[in-house]
Amino acid sequence: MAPPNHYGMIVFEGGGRIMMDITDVSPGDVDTGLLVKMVFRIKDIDEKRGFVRYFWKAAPDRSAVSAQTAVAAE
Amino acid sequence: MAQGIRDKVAILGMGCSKFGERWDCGPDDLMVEAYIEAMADAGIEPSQLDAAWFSTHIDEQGTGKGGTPMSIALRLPNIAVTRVENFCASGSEAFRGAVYAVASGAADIAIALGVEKLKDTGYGGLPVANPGTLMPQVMPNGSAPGNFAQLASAYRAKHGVSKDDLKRAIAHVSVKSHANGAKNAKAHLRKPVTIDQVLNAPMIAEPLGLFDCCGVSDGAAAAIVTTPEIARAMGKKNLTMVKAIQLSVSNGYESQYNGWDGSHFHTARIAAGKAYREAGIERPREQISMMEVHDCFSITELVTMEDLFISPEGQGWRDVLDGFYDADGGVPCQIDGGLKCFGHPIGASGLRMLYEMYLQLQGRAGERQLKDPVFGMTHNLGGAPASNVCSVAIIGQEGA
Repeated sequence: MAPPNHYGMIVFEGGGRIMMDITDVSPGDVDTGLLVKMVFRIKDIDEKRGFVRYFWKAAPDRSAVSAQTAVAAE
Repeated sequence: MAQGIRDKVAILGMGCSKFGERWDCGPDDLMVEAYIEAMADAGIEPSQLDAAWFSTHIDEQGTGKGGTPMSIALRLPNIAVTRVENFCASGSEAFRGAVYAVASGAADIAIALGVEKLKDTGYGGLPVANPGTLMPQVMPNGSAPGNFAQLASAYRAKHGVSKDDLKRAIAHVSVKSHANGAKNAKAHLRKPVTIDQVLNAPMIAEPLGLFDCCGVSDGAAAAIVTTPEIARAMGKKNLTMVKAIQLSVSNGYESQYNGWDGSHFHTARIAAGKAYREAGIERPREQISMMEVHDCFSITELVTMEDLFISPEGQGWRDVLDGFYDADGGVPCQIDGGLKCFGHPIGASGLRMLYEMYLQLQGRAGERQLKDPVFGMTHNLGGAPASNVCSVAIIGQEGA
């Protein structure tokens, strides 16, 4: 994965959090309070064994309205 | 709370190798260097050592996960050697083991020694740790700078500090450590830097630039401890006493629940509170004479000033900019240069912090000597803000 890399503590509505990759962003886009949604994306390509790993990543939720119920690294 | 460790154990001697790029030395040489200084300082023979604690975290130092590397390097007299590791706080763990052994009466004299040889890995920062088989499937492809940089965004958000103000405050942290490290012949990095150099350095993980990050080093450090009675019987005066040692370990609260705000270290506050109670310290900002804290990153040091209850919450950045933690400030911090400039050989770092506090309390810190210190505190962190181990120790003058 080529830098810059984006990741942060993602806090879920209703409780729970996980440090995860943030995708579909450019440098300067990410700051505390960014509203995000979960997307299922390529996580890693295992070149030795030729399979592709997928996992959830956080992407900016551009449709979100003001209610800040899920924030990145609050 | 238990009775605690206060005044039960004295430091008999300490030693510390030169830290840095020690291309001509293996871990054995580094261990010998710290050991010879500590033994000469203590004024004892190897036959007087009852037990040893050995801390090393990253590299296996030749013969694997055991006590043998230390015992073989130092030709110890077949005594117990316990190898310990607790991330970057490993050195403090070795010290804790040796102190507890003496306090229990199981050992009259015990030694703690930490070593790390990291500059031969061909990599500037910490070697990549093996996260296990399953974790890479979910973990971000992160780094230590990336993890600690998140403290800065959370701190800004919580306390309403502007990006420019916080960047300038953390730059001051590094400028101060470079000024101190320049006066330390054993330090890895010995050049003063200007605030403009720090502010304009290449970005590593926003907002941490090159000078906001400590490197890694080769080095070793050692402490020999005994009871105050034995130390006095050996003719030692002006004893440096162990006042407190506390360790707090994350339990998932920060990383899995939503109570933690990401701007501070939950464990550091717990360890510091317990250490002050153990040492009988009620007003740390007035009573602590000096500190060596775990400045792996400048922002870590800044928030730690609040977590140790020296600066009021949200005001640490102002104290830093006011010079409160400079060599001539209210509570000098990183007077030996810290991890940033003395260096960071992982398994040795906690003992290196104690070494400087000990030299200062003994009045043997040379050009760096502070006036009449009473209590010296060390803060040795391992792991990342959301999941870590935090060791806080206080040593001080006899009778204080």
